[in-house]
Amino acid sequence: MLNNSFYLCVFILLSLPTQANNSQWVEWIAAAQVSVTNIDNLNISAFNNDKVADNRLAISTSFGRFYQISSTSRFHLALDLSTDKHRDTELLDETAYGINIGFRHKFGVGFKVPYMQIGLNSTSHDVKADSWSRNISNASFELGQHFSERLSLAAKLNYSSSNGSSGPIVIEDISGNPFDQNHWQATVYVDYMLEQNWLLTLNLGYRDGDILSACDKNNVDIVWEKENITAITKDDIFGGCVYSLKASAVMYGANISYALSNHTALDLAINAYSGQADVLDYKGKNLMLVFNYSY
Amino acid sequence: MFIHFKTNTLRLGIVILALNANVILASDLKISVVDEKEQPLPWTVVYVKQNKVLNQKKQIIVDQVDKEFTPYVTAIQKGNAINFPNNDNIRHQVYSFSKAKQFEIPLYSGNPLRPVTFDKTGVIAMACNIHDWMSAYVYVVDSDKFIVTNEQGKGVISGLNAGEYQVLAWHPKLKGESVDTTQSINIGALDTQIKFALEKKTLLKSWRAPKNNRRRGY
Repeated sequence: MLNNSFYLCVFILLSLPTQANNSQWVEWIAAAQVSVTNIDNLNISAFNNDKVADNRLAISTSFGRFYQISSTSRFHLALDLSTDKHRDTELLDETAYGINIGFRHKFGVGFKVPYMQIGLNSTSHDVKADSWSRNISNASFELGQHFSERLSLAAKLNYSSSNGSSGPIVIEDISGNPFDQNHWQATVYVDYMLEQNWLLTLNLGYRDGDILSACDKNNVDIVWEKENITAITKDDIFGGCVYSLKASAVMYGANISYALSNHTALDLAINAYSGQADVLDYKGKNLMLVFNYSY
Repeated sequence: MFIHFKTNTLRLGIVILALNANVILASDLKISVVDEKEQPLPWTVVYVKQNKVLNQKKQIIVDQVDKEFTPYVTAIQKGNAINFPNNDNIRHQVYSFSKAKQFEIPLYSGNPLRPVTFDKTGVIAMACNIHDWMSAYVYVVDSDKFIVTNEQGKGVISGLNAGEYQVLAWHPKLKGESVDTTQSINIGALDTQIKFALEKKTLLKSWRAPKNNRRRGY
């Protein structure tokens, strides 16, 4: 179904001509991102002796178009394509493709007028370790406003749903598909321009729902004893089991951007999470260097 | 015949004297504007206060290219009009809420139906409602002697007759009230130079470069 939607979107984007009416297909979206990330807890393990650190190179592109509905409303339709490569954990390498649709509405005319944005996206992740391949869909709602040329704020609510394939049952009466997951996340973003070419973004969020964790065989027994696992199966990547359970987490981060030009920026970001299930803690952080391009 | 010769010579002399008088009386005012760090300050409007203003009608254009207004600052004489062609292959919506002129050109591409006339002096801050970072300024003066400084912070006002003048400077990002933006000057036979040192805010406009796409907002 995702394949059909993908090709349908390509057809829509390329075939509809620009019209000279009030509502019409307007500017194109062409964006690309290259990032290098150091991840200190790739398997989201609750056990210090089990955490796997690695570096990831990711390249992603988006291609799409805006449709201007009125002077204050527009929506966009875009196709996303990305690829991830890990230095050590090659089995987690993946190619992903998907679509994203967004609707943006400004509540009037003016720089400081608030806006709202609704986003829907669906991505198919084709992971080298087949068992980890899954489809991930997101729905988001964002409210934001510029308060001055320097300062803007946004608050975003996101619902994410993941669907994967079932693996072998390792514990009787427990699902063998930990990749079927759902979670909510609410995040606040603060953007502050330090200088004309420097932007600081701080984010603070709260996540609640399923998490995916992998640990070695020794630690599986501890997890089984202490936590309420909702699904578990044998893991091809980290050598033990991969499981899901309910947890909540505080997510926080900082991003500094340097504008290389009107269309390009270099970002350094640090993001961390501190999560807790019933008993076990799940913590991690990553450091990203990103090159962003937008047409 | 002798009388004719004397009359013609007299006439020729008067013409030569008149021409020379014009050359002597009209001079150039060479302007230099710097910021608080002595760096050149472009986009500064510098104008001469006049008792008698020559009304000059000019074709003035503020274009939209690569999702930016060009130029960033335009100085015009009161009563003139500006045309806002959109040479981007996308649509823009230009508006201003400034007291000196409020207007809105709804979503359009190509040339708008008619130019916008500015009949009050003052500052007009303009923006595009689709592309938040797009902003520009129009400064309306009641004078026919004005310039906008270039990248080097320089400009020349020509054709000033000898006399005392007040010269004023304005920049869209002037900082605070205690800035020396008015100078008195005496224009004489030779070209005169004037220098303004203005304190400006750090930012010219809001963020335009792409944000880290974790935010997924274009």
